[in-house]
Amino acid sequence: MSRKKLQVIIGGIIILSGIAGLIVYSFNQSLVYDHSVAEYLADRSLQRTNCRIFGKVKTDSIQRASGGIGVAFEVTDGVRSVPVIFAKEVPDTFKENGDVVVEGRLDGNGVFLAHNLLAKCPSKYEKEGVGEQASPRSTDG
Amino acid sequence: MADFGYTCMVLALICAVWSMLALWLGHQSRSSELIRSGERAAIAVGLLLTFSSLSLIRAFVADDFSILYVAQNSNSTQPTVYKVTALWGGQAGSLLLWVWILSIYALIVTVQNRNRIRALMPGVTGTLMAVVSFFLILLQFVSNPFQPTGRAVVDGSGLNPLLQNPFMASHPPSLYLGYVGVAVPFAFAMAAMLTGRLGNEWIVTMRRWSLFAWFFLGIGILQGGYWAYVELGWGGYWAWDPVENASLMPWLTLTAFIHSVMIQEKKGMLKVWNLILIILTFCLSIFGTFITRSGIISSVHSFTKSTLGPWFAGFWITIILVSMVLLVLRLPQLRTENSIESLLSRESAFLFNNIIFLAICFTVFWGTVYPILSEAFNGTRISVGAPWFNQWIVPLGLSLIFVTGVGPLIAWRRASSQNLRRNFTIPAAASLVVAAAVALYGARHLRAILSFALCAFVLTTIALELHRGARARMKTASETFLGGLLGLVGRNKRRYGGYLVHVGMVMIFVGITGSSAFQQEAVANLKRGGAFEIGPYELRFVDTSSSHDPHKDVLAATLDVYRDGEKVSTLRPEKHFYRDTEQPTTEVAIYGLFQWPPHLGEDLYTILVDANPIEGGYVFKAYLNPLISWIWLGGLVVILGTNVAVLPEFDRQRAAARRPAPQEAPGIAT
Repeated sequence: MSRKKLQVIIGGIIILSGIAGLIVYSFNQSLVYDHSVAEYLADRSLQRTNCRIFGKVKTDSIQRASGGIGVAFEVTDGVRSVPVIFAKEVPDTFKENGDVVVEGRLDGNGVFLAHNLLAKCPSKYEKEGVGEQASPRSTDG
Repeated sequence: MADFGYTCMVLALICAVWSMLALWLGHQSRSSELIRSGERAAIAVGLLLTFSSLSLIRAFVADDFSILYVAQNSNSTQPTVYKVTALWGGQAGSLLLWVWILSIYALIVTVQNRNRIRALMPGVTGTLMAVVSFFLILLQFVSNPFQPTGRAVVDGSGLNPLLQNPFMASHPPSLYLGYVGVAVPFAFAMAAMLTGRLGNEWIVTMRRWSLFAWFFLGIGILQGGYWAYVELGWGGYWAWDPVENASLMPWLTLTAFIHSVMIQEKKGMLKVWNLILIILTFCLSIFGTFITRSGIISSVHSFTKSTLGPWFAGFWITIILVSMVLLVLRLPQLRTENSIESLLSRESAFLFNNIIFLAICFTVFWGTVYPILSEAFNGTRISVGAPWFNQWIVPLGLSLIFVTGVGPLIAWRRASSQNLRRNFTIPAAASLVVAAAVALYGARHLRAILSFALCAFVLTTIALELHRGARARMKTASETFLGGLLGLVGRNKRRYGGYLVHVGMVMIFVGITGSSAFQQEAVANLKRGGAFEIGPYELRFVDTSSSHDPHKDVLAATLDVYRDGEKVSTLRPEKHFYRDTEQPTTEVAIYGLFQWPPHLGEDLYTILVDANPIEGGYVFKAYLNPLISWIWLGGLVVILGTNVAVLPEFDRQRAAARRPAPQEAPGIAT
């Protein structure tokens, strides 16, 4: 292999590794972690930043906003819950006891203001092999 | 019926294993009889799996709920067409469809080449039979579509209403034709490595197959996007959903492959690279199948969870190990015949093309797989959204458009400044003009301006090529300009079909740019008679109506659309409430492509979000998606271009000149 060719190959590897490294680095900077309700309530530092909580929509907690668009409810893990306000239109899959992930932050009054909401409807079939339907439409802020 | 289908499946597995055995032994002992037997067995596999699949389809149509898979995915009241499409509505049936298609491809390849490239064929058919065997083992032992229900069932559960849509008939089969099609070029690559026939023989023979797979994968992806756009009701067509990404990745590497094999054909370069690419593409295709079907990710697509994971992982690892070992063993025979002499050359442009495609693929891969692995191994759930993907894919995409314009025109080996001036001055000028025009029109996003400018660059290079070629033919062949144009395309369908595909891709980029950078949205809570505005349109809520059918209740709202005070259309977005599921579905109403005359500048996309009859308010959402129809129209142009590129030669002499020269075997090494 000639020296020139070796240079080209090494140069190419360096460039490609550089690009890959940048991609991975920017990825790590953009990651958002999903936290359970319990984790979220336990960790004060999470409560000060933009973050995601997953859980179920608490039964009997859904209230439509008075203007018609938006909803207030509580996200729960069965034991504890966090009140949430989401000021945009909700997807079709959003309902009581369904899985939900909300992204946003806590306001001064302990209410989670969500700018992003993903909902999955509860599994309808008991048989193994036929599973859930998911509707990960997110209305992003 | 179930027994017949199941028996055919079992027999197919036996034949596939025998086929592999016979082909291997036949090749080793140079027994053409054994090889023929192996080939006949491969043909038998195709026929047996056809019987098997047809019997399952028949069971669906005949409402045979004694088969569990039929009971899970069908219902006596389901329309017949969806009973048939239910074949691929769940996991076991999809796997059967996958292996059925593969076995048909194997049949065709074997029959097509029964009197040619005899040294390569045992490896090709053998590899295909190996993949078939893997899937048949899965179907027999892990996920059997003919498994009996085991108890009396009055009626089935029915196919998910979201899937009862005409696209269910075309989107999955198209994708499968593509995914599975990748196996054929892969088999040729394996055969080339196994036999040591590493010249252009395998490249030229499998070229149409790779285009075929690329085509169906591509239009499958576009159909998926279109289906999401008109069905799911969130105003977009691509969510960087893991299953969407899984289909995009093999398409990206396959596109890179289609381009880089041209370099190997003409210059004998990139031999090792092409082998790595096609192996990678096949691995990504299997990976895509696995992601969609293993339940490892919850998304709109994965309707099942199962234990397929370890099996696929094992298969994947086996493929990588075997092919890598072969590649390393063959490295001495894969010497390049030429090398890159200058950065400004066609070889370089094609290499950049490949690098960019791989960078995009890596980005998509990382964003898709990292969260999965993180959850699997750490239990931490992470997500990375569209903004991160776009942050990388947009600049990479822009570079790709640039290379698409440069590549076909720049000279081989080393472009002189004269060559550069002659070919690129006019396109560069055109792109500056377009950039200025777009900026004057009011656009401020730099990336959008760049995108339109680069699209203009590419279109101008293609127009220039066509113009020059046609004029040359006018002089040499005394034809009219139009005649010259047709003659030009006819004499080199591959090249000009390719240009047409590029035009289609540019149109798609224009559509993506318009609808991403300039989208507008509006939400309103209206009572009857109320109105809201978006862009130049005013939408007035007139009334609602309800209707019923055996499956669902429908609530429709009527919106009158006004522009500049004049009524231009009436839209009826709906909500469907299916009786047997609790979840309503949304039917959007779009003012755009499917109007007469078609409205191509933008789509006005309306959704009935929520109905609150108690307070009397109805929530509507509207999107304005500029230029989005160009994506679908671009897709049609890509279809046209691909068809032109694969047309056979009508002129016998030219056809003979294009056939691969018979190659001397470089020693009968295995």
